[in-house]
Amino acid sequence: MSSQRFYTGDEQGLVKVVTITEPIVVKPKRVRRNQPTPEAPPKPVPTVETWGVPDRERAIQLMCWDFEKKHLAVARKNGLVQLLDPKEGGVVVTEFKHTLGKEGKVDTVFVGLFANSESIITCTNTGRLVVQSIADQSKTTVLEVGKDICRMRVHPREHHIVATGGKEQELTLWDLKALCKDTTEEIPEPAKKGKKNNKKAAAAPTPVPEKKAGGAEARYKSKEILANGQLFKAKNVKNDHLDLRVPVWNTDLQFLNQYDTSRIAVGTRNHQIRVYDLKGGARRPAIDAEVGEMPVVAMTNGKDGSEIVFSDTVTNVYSVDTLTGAIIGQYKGN
Amino acid sequence: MVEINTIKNKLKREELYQKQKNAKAKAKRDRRTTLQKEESSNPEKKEKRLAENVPNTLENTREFDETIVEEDAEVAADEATDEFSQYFQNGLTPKILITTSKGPSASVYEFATELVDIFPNTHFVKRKPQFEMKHIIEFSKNRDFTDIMVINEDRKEPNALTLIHLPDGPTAHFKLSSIQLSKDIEGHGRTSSHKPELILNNFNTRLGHTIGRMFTALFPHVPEFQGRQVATLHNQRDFIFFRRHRYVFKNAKRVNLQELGPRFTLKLKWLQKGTFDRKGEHEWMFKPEMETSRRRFFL
Repeated sequence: MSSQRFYTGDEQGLVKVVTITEPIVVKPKRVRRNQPTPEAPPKPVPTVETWGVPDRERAIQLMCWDFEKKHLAVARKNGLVQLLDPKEGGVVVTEFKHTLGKEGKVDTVFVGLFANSESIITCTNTGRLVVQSIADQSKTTVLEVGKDICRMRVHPREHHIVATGGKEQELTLWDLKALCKDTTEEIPEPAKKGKKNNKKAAAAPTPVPEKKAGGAEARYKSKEILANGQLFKAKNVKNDHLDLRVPVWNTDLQFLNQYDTSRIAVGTRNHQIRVYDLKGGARRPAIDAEVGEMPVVAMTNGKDGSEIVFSDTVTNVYSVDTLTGAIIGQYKGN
Repeated sequence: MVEINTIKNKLKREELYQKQKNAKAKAKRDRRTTLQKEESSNPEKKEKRLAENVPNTLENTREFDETIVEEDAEVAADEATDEFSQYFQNGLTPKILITTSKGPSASVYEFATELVDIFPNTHFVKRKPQFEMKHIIEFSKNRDFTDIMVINEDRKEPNALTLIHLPDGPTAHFKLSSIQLSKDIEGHGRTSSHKPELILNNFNTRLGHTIGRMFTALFPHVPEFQGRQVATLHNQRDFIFFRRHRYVFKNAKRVNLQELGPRFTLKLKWLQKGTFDRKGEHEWMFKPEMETSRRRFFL
């Protein structure tokens, strides 16, 4: 008798635990002739446990397991970030309050959430990345990772490596340890183009991966120097067939390799799936595939980095092979 | 009795078939007259027979749907704080903007005139080609409109209606069909400026509730009963029929109706959570793949 448990969060702020148990089916002995047809086997009945009371201000924006899979991390609309204990019926283990104001006409929302035993890392769409220590309430580090961020994800093994992407924000890998070192000083906006006048010595975590080496530098006016704390910054794809710049709007991303940061998949608003391979040093995506017709909303890893499952805005779920960019399957939901 | 289909002689076969047909009809007539005689003296028998012989229709053999709302506290809490709570709890008066797609034809303007008559406090604005939907939404929000209706046109006839609730309410897109303007309805009545009463039938599922509330929020809160006008939105098999009537009570048991105003049918195509955004997420979208069974309905 197998059972599956699903944790869902909704815009009323409720967390529901849905447990579906496969019923024990007793296989009938060999049915002889002229016997009444056996009844259909019983369908699995789900049991639903609800935590919390309906309150739109506490709408859940992001939910994820912490690294040890012991607690459920939840980020709410009013800025509350909580760790819930599923074994104790959703009791709040730790809670932190971040202020989420309004940037002009756009609400600030959480775009990234990660928790391990020591800290909770959250990021908002204004680029405010907060590393909050669980043990020590006062130890909070606030970092800036750009503006109009659509997704922030933390690498599953290397918890100091963070990837961000957004509207006109290319995929960028940040090293939190390097960023933290400069929180006391003024943090410049990450450079897009042109030589950046860095006042302080950069931590220089990895060499800048550039396509042309050495002597050809003099010919190129614009040379992107990675800003402080950045490990990698992707480059926009080549101009399209009309020689127009392809607009950048990354909506979701996923680390494909569990052990290092070599392969990252990114989904865009123009229904493209791009896979970046950092090992070769290339800043342009290794694979750029157009899948579906509507923007990518959410992405997740399929089996061991060779598959990406993503959903779009119109109830379709696609499964894409990350090695070739071809669709493996599609669920035309309803 | 010989099987009629084994007789090779056509004349004989026809004769026998007619005899059989007449015998069947006579048997039915006799049964019905005896039943009528019995039931005229004993009305309970008739009631019993009617109660037992309920025919199966697609509506009463509807597939089990978990989203059908029945006394659900969670849904009630959800509806108490949704985008329409301003209307339902605070009594916000609706202010509707009606516009069309770009470059409409005459029939669309006629339909728009009818719509302006149906909903009180409505403004029709001619669509200018330089403004896109997102600009129109922004302008309407600045001028405190509560809803926008966009009539879409295809081949010189209105074919779709997009209903956008403001400020960030849901957007619903309907297919419009079977439009009959009041002038084409025989014996139609003249409308007055009284606020109509509203009847909403059969909006059962959670999706149906949202759409039903959307329509309710278009009409003013308190109807003027003196006007004796009623607007009906009847949902049957996912088609929403709009009718308008003026009623008059002859006596306690009999009501006479006179049809006013246009008739049209709507079918929900998709629903979005925020205001209209072509690349935004859709909460529900109709796809032909969803039609898995004739007994499955979504509203």
